[in-house]
Amino acid sequence: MSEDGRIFDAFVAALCDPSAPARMRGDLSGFIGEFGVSGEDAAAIVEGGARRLLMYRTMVQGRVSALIAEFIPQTVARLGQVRYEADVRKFWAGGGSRGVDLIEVAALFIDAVAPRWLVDPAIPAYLVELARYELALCQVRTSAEGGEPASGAALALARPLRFDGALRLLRGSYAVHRCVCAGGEAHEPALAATSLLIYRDREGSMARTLELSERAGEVVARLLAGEAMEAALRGGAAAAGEALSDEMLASMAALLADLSERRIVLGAEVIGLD
Amino acid sequence: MHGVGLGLRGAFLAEVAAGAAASAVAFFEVSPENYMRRGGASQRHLEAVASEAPILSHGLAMSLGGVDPFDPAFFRDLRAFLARHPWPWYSDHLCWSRHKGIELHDLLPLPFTEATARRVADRLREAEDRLGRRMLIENISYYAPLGGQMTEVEFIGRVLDLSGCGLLLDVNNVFVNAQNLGFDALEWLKQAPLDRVVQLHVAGHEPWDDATLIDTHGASVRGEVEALLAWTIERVGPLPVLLERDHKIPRLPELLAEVARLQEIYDAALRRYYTREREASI
Repeated sequence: MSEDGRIFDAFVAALCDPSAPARMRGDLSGFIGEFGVSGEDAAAIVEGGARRLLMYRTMVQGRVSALIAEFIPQTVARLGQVRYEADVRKFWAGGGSRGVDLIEVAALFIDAVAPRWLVDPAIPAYLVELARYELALCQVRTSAEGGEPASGAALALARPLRFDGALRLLRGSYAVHRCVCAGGEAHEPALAATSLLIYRDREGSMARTLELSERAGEVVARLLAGEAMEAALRGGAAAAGEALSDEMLASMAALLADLSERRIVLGAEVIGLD
Repeated sequence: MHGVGLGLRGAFLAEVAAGAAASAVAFFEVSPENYMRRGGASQRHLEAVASEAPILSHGLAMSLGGVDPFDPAFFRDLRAFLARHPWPWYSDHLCWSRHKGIELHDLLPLPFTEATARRVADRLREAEDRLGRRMLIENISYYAPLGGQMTEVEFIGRVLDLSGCGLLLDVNNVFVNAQNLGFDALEWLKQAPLDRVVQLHVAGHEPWDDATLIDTHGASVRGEVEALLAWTIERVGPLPVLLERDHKIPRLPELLAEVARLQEIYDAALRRYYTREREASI
């Protein structure tokens, strides 16, 4: 490894390793020596002292912590700042940020903490879902996709649908959308199977949420996965333990008309040469 | 194009897109990383601003001094952004920010060695080839010197000589480093390769503690930094000068008033530059 690479190894450890502050304050020369930094390079770093390196640690971790919190403010408010910052420190210790785009970093953070939060009785059981919902609102609002043209093909049972690209379907166990920005007061979300279709409106480029029934959520999930409409309807009915009835067909027709009006559904997918 | 421009930030992007800064700035500058994988309202607003004013692009995440290979997807997306917002040059910082895949979201210092200068120059040429345009490097503020045989200003000159790139000179970073590391900012500028300066940055800084200033871009530009700006303009002539503000962002009219004040300083310095030019030619 190059000399620069060894210096960067030491620097990364100074910024991310939970044990680094104490070790650096105790023996900075020994700390950087662990990474093979020696001679004039080591002397220059030691002369600068641990305080300046630890300033970087505070700045880097603090900046990323603040930016992730901007994407999931309600989650952080419910978690509490002390626990949040402790989780961010663990995130850094585990390899931390691996993307330039901070929305990606926030997604990595949620993936990293989710296994711990889900089994920790001190953490509200809905918090992972709330974090994913808050982040999905940001992802949809800023998505590079979206605004695609309609296919021009009428909906048909044998065909899949074309959807707008700025779209997320979240299926979970809590109505977390009802506890976000509810008059500024914190509400505990109800325990209820929930399907949330998050889309970006064409006028204001705002992220909006449609709550779907469990049955409609199952059908839309299948359609988003590329199933033809008939297969998605039959699969959705079977998953709900129902037959494909006239009532269900009428309900799904109304839903698809609504999604088309909102320009979430852009017609039937055009396949091959037709 | 020259004069004082403003870093375009999300806090006032919609206002500017609606015309609230019409003709008040010479140009705007954006960081493509905030737009190039995004859509929606911010993208539309940027297009609206670009239809009315020049847009310069200034990167944060290329990690020019890093040892990780460049990310082809990053360059593909950046090249596509620059195709939509063309400008003859693209700038990023003389620093590293990523190592072994870990993105540190900060501008971290380099050792001032010949080996590092050569490695960074190679990467600058690679970046120019990938982007199909000239690169500028910006001198950073740094708080933990990593040593090396050269001074910072010698190191910058060496990288510029080896790479053929231009310099984006941040005079606030020079001031902050001078205060923190104990050298004279004006002497630094006198040694700097001013003939390679293509663009300037100014910003405000704040104290970290009694002994250290931080380049936060969270305050107005201080008088000492304005004086360094004027000194530089008087010697390099007409260039784009950018006001950066990233924290504690005031209302847009206040920012535009600061741009106007800097423009007055710029104009006065430019008059002195032309006087010097005339006197030198007699």
